[in-house]
Amino acid sequence: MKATVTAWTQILARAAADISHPVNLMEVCGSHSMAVARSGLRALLPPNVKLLSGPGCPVCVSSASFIDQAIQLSRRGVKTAVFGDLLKIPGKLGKLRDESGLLVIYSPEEALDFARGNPRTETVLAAVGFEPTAAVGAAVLDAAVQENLANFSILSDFKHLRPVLDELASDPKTALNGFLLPGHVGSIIGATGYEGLSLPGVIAGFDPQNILHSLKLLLEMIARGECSVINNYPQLVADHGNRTALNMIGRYFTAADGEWRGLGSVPGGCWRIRPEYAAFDAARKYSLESETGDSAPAGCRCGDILRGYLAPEQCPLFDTVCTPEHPVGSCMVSNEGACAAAYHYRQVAI
Amino acid sequence: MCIAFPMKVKELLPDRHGIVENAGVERRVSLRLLEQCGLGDYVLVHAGYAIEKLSEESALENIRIMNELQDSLGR
Ligand code: SF4
Repeated sequence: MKATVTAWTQILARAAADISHPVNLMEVCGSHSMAVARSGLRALLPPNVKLLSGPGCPVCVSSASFIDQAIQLSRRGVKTAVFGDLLKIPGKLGKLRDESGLLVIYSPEEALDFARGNPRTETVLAAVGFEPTAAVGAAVLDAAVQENLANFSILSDFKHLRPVLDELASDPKTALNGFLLPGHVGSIIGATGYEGLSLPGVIAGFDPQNILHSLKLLLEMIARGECSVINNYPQLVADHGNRTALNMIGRYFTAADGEWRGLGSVPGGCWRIRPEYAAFDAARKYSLESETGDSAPAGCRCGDILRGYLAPEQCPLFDTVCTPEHPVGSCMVSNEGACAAAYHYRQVAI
Repeated sequence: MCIAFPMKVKELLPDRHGIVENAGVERRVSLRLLEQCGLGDYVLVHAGYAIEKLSEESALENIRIMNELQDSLGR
């Protein structure tokens, strides 16, 4: 569905015409945060409609205790493999970038290859991510288990997105009315993985036209008082998702309560390694201490932003003290973080 | 880091791996998260793994959008 800027303004206004109350919508995907900020499409929304950026960036919600555990491992001489985006995220013990001897990876397979090539070096993949990355973690674990790779284990801060959607949906302070649902997570869990939410949702692609069309569908559902899931990205999201990947996640991980930075402990919100594979679970293997509780840097409002209470521009440190070059909080570190997306595209106007 | 890119399968390697390509950039990826995958298929690549298959049409569309997003960050 292609249309011009003026046409979209009218289409969205018409879709929202029958809704008399303020409408709060939320996207929960780092690539959506980027696409929305970049295209400036918020300017096309009717005055009573707000589009908030939720906790869609896995790096931003990585727990402080996970960062600290990775730091502990590295200090004990364990070869610790991490995604580059994690280096600047603060834990209580500091930041990973100040540790020596890390293996900075693009793919978890690199950690596996390192462990194979250095059988006497204890190697840990310390990883975060939503379902797509959890599936990759499970596949890596599968290979390690099959090869009986005794010097390899995983420190999992993989996140289960669905429980956090349920939690956000029922937060009276944010008062959400609908979700723009992430496509990449959807490609794994399928449209059915989003069913049963207490708010309407539309699975959206990454093209501004698709996002605008998805917003229209969402507003129409809200106007009709309907609560279901529309898959507006069937090119990528099958009804039942990727079963091979889902089976792989289910074989090695189980959903457990866990910390989301800024949101606190989310029931069932993390993927932990199943007890039968404890030998491959770095947290158990090295008896790592896990201290709960956030360590938000002074003045950082990431938690309020991830819940949709505040927009990045409303944080007093935004674009003054806190920039992508000198990030204060985790939301400014990864390009997909709500604050970083707002920063990169802050002068965009349609 | 959550970013996923569509790429085309150019070569199948042993142990369920393959070489994928987009705009001259080649990468060795694992195909173990796909039920099946053949030469010439478009796949969505995330963290060194193909996580889903795509039709050629939606892959090309997706490549264009993701390139725009990345370019806009000055990479
Ligand atoms: S702008 Fe910086 S300090 Fe403020 S909430 Fe975002 S990351 Fe935290």
